[in-house]
Amino acid sequence: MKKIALVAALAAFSVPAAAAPGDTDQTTGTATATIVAPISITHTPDAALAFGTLTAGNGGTIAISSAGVAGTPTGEVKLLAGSTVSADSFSVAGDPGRSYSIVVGNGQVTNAASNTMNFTTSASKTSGTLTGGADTFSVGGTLTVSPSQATGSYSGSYTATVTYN
Amino acid sequence: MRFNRPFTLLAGLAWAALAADAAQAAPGDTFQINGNARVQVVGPTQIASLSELRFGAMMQPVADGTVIVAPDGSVSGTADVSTFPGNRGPAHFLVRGDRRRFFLTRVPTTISISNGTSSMVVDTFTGNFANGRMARFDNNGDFDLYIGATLYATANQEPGNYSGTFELSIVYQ
Repeated sequence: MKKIALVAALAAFSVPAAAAPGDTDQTTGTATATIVAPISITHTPDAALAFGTLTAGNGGTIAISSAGVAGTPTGEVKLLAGSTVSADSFSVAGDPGRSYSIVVGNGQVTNAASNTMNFTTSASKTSGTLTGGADTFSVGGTLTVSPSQATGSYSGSYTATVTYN
Repeated sequence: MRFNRPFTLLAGLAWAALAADAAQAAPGDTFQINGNARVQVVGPTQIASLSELRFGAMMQPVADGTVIVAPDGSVSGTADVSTFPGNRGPAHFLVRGDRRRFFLTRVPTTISISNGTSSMVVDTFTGNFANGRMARFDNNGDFDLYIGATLYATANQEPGNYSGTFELSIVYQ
């Protein structure tokens, strides 16, 4: 009996870290959430997609790149020397570091006599990242001039839309 | 394996003790008897955090709303959960203990998560345990514990990245 008792004592002292009923263990979890600031777009004051001063002839097209550089007109359209051409520009604000996509629409310009010309647009990029909460992009386009297009000063608008990715 | 090693050690100790005792009691004689040794080693619980409780991103709300993340990963609630549909899910813990043993899980009633200047309330913690927060380790002594909860965002909640912590306790039964 003495020997068995000795074994039992050794066994008792050798049990490591026994967890009895009611014993607990504990850890810390983390909960996260992000509230995203609304995205906004602002048209740069006085900026415009300017196609310059043209002669129509028998019609054609004139393209302005998103960098604001005029391409070679097509058809009989001629860009007058000294014309001011430019790309349009926008600034975007929102959640820092978040990416967004850009969609620009086509448009139409009209003169005082309600004559019209259509134009397509092309943004400098189709998506961007709001580094520091801000970004910019520019818009060029291509204007289609009809044969014997009526003279006059034409203006119009188009839409630019930005959306979080 | 966890059971075998201590048991082998005990058997060795027992044999040594018997031999020494026998030699002392009856020098020159041989006397042997077999005793029975039994031991149950109960391992301590271990909790490893594998993923956070993620409510994801939402547009700044115009009205009060909730985001509910369930332990099975399903998402519901009245706040905007469609603009940024990804990156939501329950907290995942791997809990280790004795195989087939029951344990109780304790989570807080409510916590607050903050972006540093503004806060949101998180409450109604839920888990993938059955009744009364009771669960049972499997045959390997493991339990994959998933914890969900409800997030409350208020109208015009300040934009930012919010985080906070909660205590998870496991109680042996």
